[in-house]
Amino acid sequence: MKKTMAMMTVLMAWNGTALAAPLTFNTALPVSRGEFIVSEQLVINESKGSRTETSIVSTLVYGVTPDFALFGTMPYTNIDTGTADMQGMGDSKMFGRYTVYTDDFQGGTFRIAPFAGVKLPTNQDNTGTDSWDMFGGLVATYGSVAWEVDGQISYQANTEANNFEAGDIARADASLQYRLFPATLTATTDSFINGVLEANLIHKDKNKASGIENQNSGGTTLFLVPGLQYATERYVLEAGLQIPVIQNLNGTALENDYILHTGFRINF
Amino acid sequence: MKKLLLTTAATFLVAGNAIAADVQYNMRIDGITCPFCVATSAKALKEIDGVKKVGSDLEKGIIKVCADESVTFTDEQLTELFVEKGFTYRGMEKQEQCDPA
Repeated sequence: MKKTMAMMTVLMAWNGTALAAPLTFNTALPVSRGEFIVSEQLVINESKGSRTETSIVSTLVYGVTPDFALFGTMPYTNIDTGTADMQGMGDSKMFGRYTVYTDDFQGGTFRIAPFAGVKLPTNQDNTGTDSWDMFGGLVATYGSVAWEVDGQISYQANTEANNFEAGDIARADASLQYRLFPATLTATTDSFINGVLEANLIHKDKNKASGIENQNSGGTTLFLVPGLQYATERYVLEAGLQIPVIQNLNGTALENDYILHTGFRINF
Repeated sequence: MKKLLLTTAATFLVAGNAIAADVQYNMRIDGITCPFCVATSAKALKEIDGVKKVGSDLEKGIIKVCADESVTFTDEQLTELFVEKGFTYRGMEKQEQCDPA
């Protein structure tokens, strides 16, 4: 349970562009060739008042070409269950995203980009799983000067390590970012404040220990995420609260209270 | 005195001709939606000798480049520059004076 919850926290904090991108997943907007973007996000995942997982998730993005970007995420996690306290590096992720469709137009763009990668067993002190897991999906973005919509579907196939196999994860995400300020653009506008509303539908299969399914694990959760972004020419500051509105979990699987996301992204 | 005045006037005339005027290129770029999109392109444009200021009109998808009149841009050069940034260059118009700051 601890391991899969740690995995979920990292999964929910892998956005990585300094553009007006979603808080809880990726975007199809471009990363310029040779450009680096660094993102730091504090994620606090509270479950039924009995378990708090706090992660600082660092993400590095590199534009190999205007269509192909590489992403790497590395979390540092503390898990406090009241009776135990674990702390250390979590599991890293590396993935590539390739833009297969681009339609640029005046004041906007539409892009579709599949992505694929691997989760690496880099955790210490049970702050992740020891398995190598593959994941992939498709993200699409329609962006304009006033608003942006992103949608993503993804699947993570988890493998067994040390007689434990976390359930596979399928998810569908949607995000709307709407410019609240300034209402009207001028020649001197160099920053936006965006209101953000996201939805994450996440299904987890049951975990297995020594090949036996844990009946008290896995299930389906729908989160809604209201948030705010302050986007400038060089950096983005952002915060959002992931609120579970539907939790259809198996057995006594631990329910979420909320997941707080706050952080910044900066380009070099 | 007459000689001095003539010399002074000639000096100002030569100096005046040597200082090039500024012109503005209004570049139509599709795909830019936010200040960051402009910033990454502005960084590349400012590396070109003679470019003095880069601004934008996001709603119209225009990047405004104020540069010394000796600077010349070609469609091929700008197409490549903006492709590298992830955007689409559509064309440009030259304006004889830069917009006031």
